[in-house]
Amino acid sequence: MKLSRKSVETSDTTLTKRILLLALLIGLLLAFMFSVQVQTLILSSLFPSEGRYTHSRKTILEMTGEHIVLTLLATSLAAVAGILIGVAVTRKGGQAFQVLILRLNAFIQTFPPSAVIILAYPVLGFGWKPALLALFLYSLFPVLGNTVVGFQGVSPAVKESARGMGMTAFQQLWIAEFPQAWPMILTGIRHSYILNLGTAAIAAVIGGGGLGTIIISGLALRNSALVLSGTIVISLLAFIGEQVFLLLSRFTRT
Amino acid sequence: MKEHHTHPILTDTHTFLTAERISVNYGQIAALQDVTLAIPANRVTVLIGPSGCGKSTTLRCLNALVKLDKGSITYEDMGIQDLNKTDLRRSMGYAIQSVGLMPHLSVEENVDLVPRLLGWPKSSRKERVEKLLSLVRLDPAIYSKKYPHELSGGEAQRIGFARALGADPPMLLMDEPFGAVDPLNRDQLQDEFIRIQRQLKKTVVFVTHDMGEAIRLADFLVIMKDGKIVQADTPEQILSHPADEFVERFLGPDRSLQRLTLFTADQWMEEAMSGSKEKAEETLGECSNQTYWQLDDQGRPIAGFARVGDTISRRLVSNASHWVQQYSSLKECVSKILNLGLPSAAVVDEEGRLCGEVRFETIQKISRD
Repeated sequence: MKLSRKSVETSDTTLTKRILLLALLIGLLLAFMFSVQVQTLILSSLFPSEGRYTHSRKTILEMTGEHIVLTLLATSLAAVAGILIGVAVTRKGGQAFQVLILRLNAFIQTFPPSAVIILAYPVLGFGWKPALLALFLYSLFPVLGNTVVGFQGVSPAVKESARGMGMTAFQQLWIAEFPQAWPMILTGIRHSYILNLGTAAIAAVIGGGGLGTIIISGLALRNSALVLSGTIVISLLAFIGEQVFLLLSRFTRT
Repeated sequence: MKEHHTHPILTDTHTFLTAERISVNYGQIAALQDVTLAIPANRVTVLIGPSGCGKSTTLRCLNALVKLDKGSITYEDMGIQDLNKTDLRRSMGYAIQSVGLMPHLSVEENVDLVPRLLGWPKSSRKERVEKLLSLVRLDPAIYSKKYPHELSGGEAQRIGFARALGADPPMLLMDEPFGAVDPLNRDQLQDEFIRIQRQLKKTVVFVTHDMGEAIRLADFLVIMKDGKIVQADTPEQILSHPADEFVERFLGPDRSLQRLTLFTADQWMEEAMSGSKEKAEETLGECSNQTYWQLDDQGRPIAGFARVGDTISRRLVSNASHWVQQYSSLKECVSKILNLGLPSAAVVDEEGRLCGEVRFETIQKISRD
């Protein structure tokens, strides 16, 4: 009794800490994103000798917006496709394809995203579309893999009793199995998000926008301040995403 | 019009469900061969046999978890192959050895599953859950909100049983439901099962590999071997007339003791003498086949007095392990009698109050018959 109350208290304090941390990170991001003064202040203190601290054509705000949209779009697509395929290959009818699909998925993962972009270029052209395809394919692996592992983790006794008590195939999936696989699936989506956040920087190579624009300019101009500027925002987005997912897993835990 | 056919063996009831010449193959292996079986209504049918004999397969045929290769199963004049599988399963409670409670659902949500699937109104469902938890002797106030990982093995089995009873199905299928709990808990669960079954009178099909359990619980006992039925009869008949050597060996060497598990204490209980310590000698008189019980102020036995030759001996019986419950078997009574060296065993009610005694004399008489 005493013990359980204590554990509730500690989990409540970690929750408060987590929300405070999230607010702080978001505050930092907003300050950096919206204010050129803040950018200049931070970057000039680190690289006093650089002549320029901002991109010549685009603001950090614009690039961050493009980056977030591209990342979220690719992650959502990977999540939906990953879960659907994962469910399909853990059902009775689809189990035969499970090994094949997982191998194929792992094979796609070995493609460098830049190669996908270049291969997709003739079909999808210039801009964000080939980038989205590359990100989607690249980030499918963690969601699909974790979905399969999550469903495999459901005990045979639970499946047997669900069937025996008269659940339809859909009810067996939705009431008995999915809630148990969900924490694993959510972890997969989180990995996919973090992966996409970093990889989305290469979209700039073919004019797909995003924070890769300023990083690549920085590299071309040998301006470390510009490279760091894009990297700071990506890291903040990664930290924020991580915290949001942890909160999400807490509130969807049943 | 529903026709009732009298059960071929248990003539005081009708046949609820009939399996006719059913066969099941798992690949090359014949799991069931030409099995014909009539399940008596409102009685407990126990399927028993060595592992791989087809007892679980038979059970799983009844709710269409296993597909028949040959033969048919008729349920209320309808072939089960013609019924909707999910409807059929919802009309039969299902409890298994590994329980299979949903780990992400609370105890009350688990028990509520079948009523929820059937779309019962919420208000009656809540009431139903509380009633079921009380029935399996788990306080709803304590257990409703718990999660399966917080339960002991015995508690989980009780919840599994409550869940099987969820929508008040006429039939229960139980596959070694007490197989994974320790012997002490198993005896207790069997006591509870007998108590509940006498109250609810469900049609139960129960699979076990424990002969003691089978004889205790069965009204109709079906012994199986290599996918076939060897003998199907009342436990009394099987104990006194085993069909062949296999059945005889399977029953074990202690058949007379096994027979005692057919009866519960309350069926053979007699009035017990009790009162204060001082009156023991006077009340007992020359009587050597009864015990005089000294009780505490709540009516629970503290000590037993018995006449041994010219003297009166006294035994402390203040612990619950010295008593038997109303639904305990006579075998258990014998064990208490031998342990304590008294001529009878004290039978107590749920609060531990003395309500009678079972005498060794009575048990000897039953064994002789």
